[in-house]
Amino acid sequence: MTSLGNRHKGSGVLTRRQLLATAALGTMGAACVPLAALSRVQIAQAQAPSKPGGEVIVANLARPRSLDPNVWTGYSDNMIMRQIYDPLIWSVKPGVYMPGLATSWSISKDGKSYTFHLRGDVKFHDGTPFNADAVKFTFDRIVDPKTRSLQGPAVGPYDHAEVVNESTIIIQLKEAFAPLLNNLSGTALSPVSPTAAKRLGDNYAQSPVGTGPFMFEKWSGNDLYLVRNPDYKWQPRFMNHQGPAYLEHLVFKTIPEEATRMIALQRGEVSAVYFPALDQVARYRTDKNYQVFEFTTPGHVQSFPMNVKLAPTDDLRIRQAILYGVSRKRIVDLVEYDNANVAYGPFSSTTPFFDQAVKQDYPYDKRKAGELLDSAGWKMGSGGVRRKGSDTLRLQVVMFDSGPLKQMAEVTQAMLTELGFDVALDVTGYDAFAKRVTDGTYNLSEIVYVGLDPNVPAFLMYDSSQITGGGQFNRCRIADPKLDALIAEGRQSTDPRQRQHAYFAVQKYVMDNALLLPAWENSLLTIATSAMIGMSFDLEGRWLFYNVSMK
Amino acid sequence: MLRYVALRGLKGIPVLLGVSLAVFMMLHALPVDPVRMLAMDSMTGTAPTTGVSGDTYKNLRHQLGLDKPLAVQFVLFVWNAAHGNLGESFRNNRSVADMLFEQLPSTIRLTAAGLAIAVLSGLALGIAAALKPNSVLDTISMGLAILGVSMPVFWLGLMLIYIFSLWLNLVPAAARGPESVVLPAVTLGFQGSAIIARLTRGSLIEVLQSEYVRTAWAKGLSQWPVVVRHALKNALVPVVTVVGLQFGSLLSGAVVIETVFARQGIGSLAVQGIVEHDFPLVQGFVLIAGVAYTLANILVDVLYAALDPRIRFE
Repeated sequence: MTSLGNRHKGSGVLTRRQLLATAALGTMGAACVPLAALSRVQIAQAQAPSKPGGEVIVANLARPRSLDPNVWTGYSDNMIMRQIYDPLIWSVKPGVYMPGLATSWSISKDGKSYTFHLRGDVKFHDGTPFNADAVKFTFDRIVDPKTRSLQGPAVGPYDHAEVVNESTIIIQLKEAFAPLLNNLSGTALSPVSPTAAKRLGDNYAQSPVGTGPFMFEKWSGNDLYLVRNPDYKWQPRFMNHQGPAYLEHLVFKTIPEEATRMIALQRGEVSAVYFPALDQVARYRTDKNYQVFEFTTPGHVQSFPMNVKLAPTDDLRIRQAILYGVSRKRIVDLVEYDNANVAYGPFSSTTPFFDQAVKQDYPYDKRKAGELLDSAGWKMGSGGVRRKGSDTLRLQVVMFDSGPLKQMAEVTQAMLTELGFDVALDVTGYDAFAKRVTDGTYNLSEIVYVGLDPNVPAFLMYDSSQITGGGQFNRCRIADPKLDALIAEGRQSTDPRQRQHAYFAVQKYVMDNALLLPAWENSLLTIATSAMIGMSFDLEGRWLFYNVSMK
Repeated sequence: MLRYVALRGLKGIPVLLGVSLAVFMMLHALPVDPVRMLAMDSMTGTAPTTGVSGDTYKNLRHQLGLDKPLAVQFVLFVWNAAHGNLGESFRNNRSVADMLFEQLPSTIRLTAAGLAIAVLSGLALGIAAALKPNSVLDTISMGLAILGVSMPVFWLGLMLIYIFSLWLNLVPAAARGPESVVLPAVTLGFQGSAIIARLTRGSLIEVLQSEYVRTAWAKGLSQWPVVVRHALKNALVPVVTVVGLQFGSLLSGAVVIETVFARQGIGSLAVQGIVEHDFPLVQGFVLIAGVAYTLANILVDVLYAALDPRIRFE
């Protein structure tokens, strides 16, 4: 069996049978619940049965801001929340759902009514019972302005919830909303204890009470201590065991400085590091004492959206030339130290309805790029800059300074300069960047997005309403009713074939019109000691520490 | 003396007001949208997993009081602060005062330890160098002083972690517990001790050459009583002033050190507040830092007068 030092790549679709077989063998760390992201699951050699007990300390980037899943959308914190809360349903394969706190569900023909039957044996960490009232409470508080929730879009056109009895609830929507099931399988709609939320008010976010396998124990400084939930027995079927979690303690230690995190890992002060130093990862891949988990997140890839409203990127040929003339592999090698997949289209390869065909689009071809620029009238002039008449081929690139983005922009700038562009690169703080985005004074900017349902990247990045509305994530500024219609079709249809048709068409449109320069597929890295076995992830890349035990 | 302290305290109020106003204006002058920042996972720079609707932005802006005129916002802040209410963090709605005071003891421990190291080692080095000017000891001491002043605090901290944690395996990298203050305090105090050493040396050498000291030598007094009872008290006057000023740079150094050594404290809270444009948190931190700085300088003035009888409370 391949050691865990290898990177798991490629796509594989598991049958239900293989899945059950794997779970039955108590596989170790082939990080997976079946996913397109990680590879075919490796059937492990028989391992000694996992024993309860032990502690895992994860070196985290920043103190969790809030552990209230109905309010706070921060991705890193949601990874922690996955251990404390359970969802109503779990998604094991894109579009395939399994019971969680809900045992069964049905959707009305018009797609506006969802009926859920709930488990009767679930308790919150504070001993209060989980029931339909708790689910109603969760949905209602998201749309209550007093809660100041950022998770509004997760419930979409939610109208109201009807408690039929203790274990039956009907969620009523104003219109059909296909992403609801996906959203339910995430953390946003995890039920929280109504008793605790009402009692603690704004302080609830610092002392969460859920139903999950781990309970909040305490804060020690900026470090978060979770402890095993001894009453837990409502795990989903795909987990590798039943009953309470193996680990006794789960600690998230806040170590903001990257170098300090890596030293802590080397000295064994922590069992795992989130956000490791990218240039050191290669070393850990080949070290038998460690395992490297790389998860490619679904959603929109790390990319440069190209502004179709501002010259010269308003010319299709210029945009296509940029796609042909920039080597994405080079960007990934130099900036991510080859710790991410090259991106080809708007969606990452782990997004449902990802179209493999985009991998054939725009192979790196400097000569072709040059020909396109020539045909657009931009001839190479002196000083290596192309000219058309008295104009120079000037590109405005805006970027904000976070992690590898500055380097990504600089490497790209260098390659664009070789093609004859005069590139003005502005790397600023986020706000100045956001202002440029609002004003539209850029040719290339930046976007990346994590989201399981393809509606997320499709709508937010390409719908005409998102140029000035919402979070202003439509940075290529495309406004085409035809595209909007395709996006709406994908969102409202619950038939997978129709959705696939719509999203394939969206991806083709985006690539035919060269709306973005993709760079890499967003990947999350966790390095852990080999003593930590059983690590797996959900479909959006969150750890599932329930399966983990210490050797 | 009490009257003096009280008067100095009162004079500190316009300073605090001025500082608060300056920071307030800076925060609002930047092309900054704290509400937009709320939806961002600021640490990783990625947008959240679900888009935020326009209505949500408007509601949030209203709830946070950001749609009121600037002057009103500032007056509200001052009024609330005077009543001990530093507002609520934009990010998680917790009371800013609670957040800051919860983490303040950690920063106080760090700053006090750093100050102690700076003063003690700086004085020791400076006195030793002054008593044997131009000797090998002097050269080494002053060499160390130059190093201390030129090394970035950030880099020194990381180097110490590499040496004592990784190579020598003596302390944890992300230490917790009372002994964890040692390395950070050394890092923090190193720069201050350099400045104090140089100043002490120069000041003491000058004082040792003055007439009354030479008189004491002539009278046959041995070295130590002369140095300690007569010379040092006078030499320390400028040093004490500098220590008061150093307190400010110790506070700002704490901001960096807390990040490098993964410590909690108001410094790391300030970083968080600045990165996330959490206005109340930043304003609260600036106010507390300002109060601390003012108090430190009042203390310095009192010490100053105690050292030099010619300076009395006016």
